[in-house]
Amino acid sequence: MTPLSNQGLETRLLDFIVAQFLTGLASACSLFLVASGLSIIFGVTRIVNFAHGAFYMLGAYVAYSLTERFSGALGFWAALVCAAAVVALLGVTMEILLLRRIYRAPELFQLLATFGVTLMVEDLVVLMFGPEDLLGPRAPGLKGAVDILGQAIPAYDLFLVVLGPLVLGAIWLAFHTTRWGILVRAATQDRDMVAALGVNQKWLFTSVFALGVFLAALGGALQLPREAVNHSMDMKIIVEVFVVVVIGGLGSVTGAFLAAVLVCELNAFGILILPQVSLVLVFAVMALVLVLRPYGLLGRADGAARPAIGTFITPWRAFTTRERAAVAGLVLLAALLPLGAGAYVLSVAAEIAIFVLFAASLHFLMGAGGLPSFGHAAYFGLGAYGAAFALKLAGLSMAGAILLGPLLGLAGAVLFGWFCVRLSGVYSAMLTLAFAQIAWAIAFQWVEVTGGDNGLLGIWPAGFAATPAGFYWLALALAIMGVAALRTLIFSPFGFALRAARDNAARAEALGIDRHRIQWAAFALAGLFAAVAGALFAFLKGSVFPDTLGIPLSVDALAMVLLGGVETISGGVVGAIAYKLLSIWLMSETEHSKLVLGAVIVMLVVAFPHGIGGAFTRLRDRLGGAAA
Amino acid sequence: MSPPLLEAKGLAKSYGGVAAVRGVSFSLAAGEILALIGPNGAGKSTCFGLLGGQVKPDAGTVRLSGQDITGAPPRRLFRLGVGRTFQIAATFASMSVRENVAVALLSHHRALARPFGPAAHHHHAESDALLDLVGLADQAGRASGELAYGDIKRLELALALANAPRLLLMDEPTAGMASGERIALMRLVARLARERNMGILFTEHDMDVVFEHADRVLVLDHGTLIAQGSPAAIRADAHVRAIYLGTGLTFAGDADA
Ligand SMILES: Nc1ncnc2c1ncn2[C@@H]1O[C@H](COP(=O)(O)OP(=O)(O)O)[C@@H](O)[C@H]1O
Ligand SMILES: [Mg+2]
Repeated sequence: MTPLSNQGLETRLLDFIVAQFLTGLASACSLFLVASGLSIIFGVTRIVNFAHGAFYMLGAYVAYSLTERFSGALGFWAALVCAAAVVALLGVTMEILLLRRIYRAPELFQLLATFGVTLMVEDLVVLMFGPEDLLGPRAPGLKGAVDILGQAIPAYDLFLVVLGPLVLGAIWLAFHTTRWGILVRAATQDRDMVAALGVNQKWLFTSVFALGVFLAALGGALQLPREAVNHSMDMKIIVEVFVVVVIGGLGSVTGAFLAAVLVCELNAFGILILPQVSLVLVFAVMALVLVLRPYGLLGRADGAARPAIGTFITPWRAFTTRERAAVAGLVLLAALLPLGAGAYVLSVAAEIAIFVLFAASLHFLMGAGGLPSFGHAAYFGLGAYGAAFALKLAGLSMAGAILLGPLLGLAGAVLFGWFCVRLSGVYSAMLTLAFAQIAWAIAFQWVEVTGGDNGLLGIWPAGFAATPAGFYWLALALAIMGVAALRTLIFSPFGFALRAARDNAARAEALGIDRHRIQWAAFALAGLFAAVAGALFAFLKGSVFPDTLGIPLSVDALAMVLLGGVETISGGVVGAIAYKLLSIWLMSETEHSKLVLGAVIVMLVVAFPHGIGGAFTRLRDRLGGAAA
Repeated sequence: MSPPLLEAKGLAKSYGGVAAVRGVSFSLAAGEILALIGPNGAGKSTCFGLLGGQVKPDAGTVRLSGQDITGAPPRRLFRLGVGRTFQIAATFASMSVRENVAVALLSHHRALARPFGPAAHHHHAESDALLDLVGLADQAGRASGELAYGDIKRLELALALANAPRLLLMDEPTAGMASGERIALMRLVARLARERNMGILFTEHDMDVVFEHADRVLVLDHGTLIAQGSPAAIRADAHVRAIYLGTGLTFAGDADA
């Protein structure tokens, strides 16, 4: 090669890098809009708005249908803005009708409500707009490409590159020059101040929701010329948005901007330089940022310590003799199920038993430990893979696989938990999500070992467990033993130390409790029990796929725990049975199971702001009080 | 001569640009009751944090019976026999009063790592004695989150006493209490100090309480110790009086002086 052509190659590479960089910046625009909305809403209301992705998607769909109606060059731009405004109104409706009723519910409970709304929206957009991908129009006036250093860059991308900082500037001005903006900033920094606002607080929350949802919907609408609109856009964006908001620092708009750019550039270049790890790169960076800066790049520590999740004022107590007899009766009934049920019912029942154990392990972590996790499926999935490896690679029997497989989940929990217990609240939860995504990406991309997307097949139960009844009994027995063990733990000295650390970290430390160590141990235990459930799941399905580590499964577990009630010891068990029965039954009864399930969740959330288990406890206390 | 129970030398702590505590030195003998007074924002709570391990000092040292404990984490201080209460009472809100005490006692007996066996029934006699001491025996079964504020403060004292400390740090132990309760609590603490030869450092806004119970008084203003001495000497100190002018606090006896 001559020096000249070598030099040409280098400049071409440089040009290409610039082009790639600009593409990254363009992608960052929408991501920033959505993330800043979520960040502002969280900053003021402390709500993790899971429906934010749904509003982003709705923004794209509504913009699509409006561009079809409005004509002319101005029509396109008007359609985008109108779409965002319409969706913002929907967001405000959700805030007023739903969230206002549950602001006083335990932390993260509002997440369950917004998750219900998300499920509904996912089905509704299919009902209204059809299941196909929709291709929107190109932006009038920006259809062509601009030549930059010999690379053709879409003009629309350049428009987005400019728009992002403009929006950032506009928000900054609004926050620093208007009375409203100053209130928003003050509320973000000082929670007590918000409470002191009294009546105004309601409207501050509502207006913040309006702005946040407007930004999300505008972000969705702006993607119209860049990508097809479809009904799974919401899940894809919500995870990225969580990552951006956490890297930037919850409540910080500038942080969201920096993080959006960082994430999009990582995506743009990661795929070129390290395609093997492109899926995990962003999550690895997020984990790194959180380890170095526990409140994100520009986030700040919460001034007033808020009570951790699971702090409540009814002390937990063990079952009375009567309650123990009732539980024993229910267990006996469950054990007799195979006498009157066929193979299908038994396999459903075994699945429910598995999820009872899975949810109970998450409940232990959240309820007793005060450590919310958005990525608990990591340990479930690692347990499933562990069992599969033990069977296929190590040639162990089924018993050996179920005994030893979960150790992989334990190892994961020991490793990830060490980091997670060092962060607080939502940051810790987001780090669990990042770790789960990393585990998922490894399972997905390490094809030689895990089979990648094709999974590992042929993991069938043997011996007595080969029959549906046998496997059901095995699952039931392990679930009961697991739940009983977790319950025993809660009332043991260890459980007391754990609950003490959750209730009041400063007091616990002043009483000689090593908070991080005790929470780390709880994390590891929760992971181990989840992994046992995962190992059983592998044998139930006869296979293991990366899905077992996926976000939807983590979210399901979270929904079960919140639905059952974090504040009630049996919340995980009750929630798992209710949620699983409901979703399996709806799946068989209706095409629109998500719509109905979401609506049911929303209704339950409003009716039982302390979960189903919490409602039971309250009823029992009221009846007991009346009798006494 | 044996070293004093507690000895602080040149303690300093700034938050950003704000110097909360600047070069505080004092010592406290076993069995001595020492009051730390000063207007709001003087740095009293920060001092407690520095001594109790919640706040890491920028400079200075803390010694406990001669042993350097500067920057030691609170859980280590607990093992060394330091008890403390917080300005905003810290208890375990989701647990009953007895369970709160059980946590403290289990920790004292190093039994908190056990993963089996119900915890609630350990050390019953000891927890009864502690609850009796602070006058909460009749509320043992109640959720600590629903106690009256004064009772929460007393529960906190019970927790701080669970490891039979040789040094007790109390940041505003009687804040929010009625005057009768205040006097009773400080009498109890003073009695324990005599009986157990326990050193006590406390802050208090009620000067009657301070002058009645303290053996010695330290006065803090803007992070600096501006005076220390016997209650009588402090009461007469013109500088101290000047600081308190206009803060709404009055010295007992001023009316008839
Ligand atoms: N965590 C903190 N961050 C920033 N400033 C603090 C913090 N804690 C205390 N300060 C400041 O330090 C000074 C002393 O506060 P503090 O020790 O609480 O005083 P006191 O207990 O005497 O009222 C005050 O100006 C206060 O605002
Ligand atoms: Mg103070």
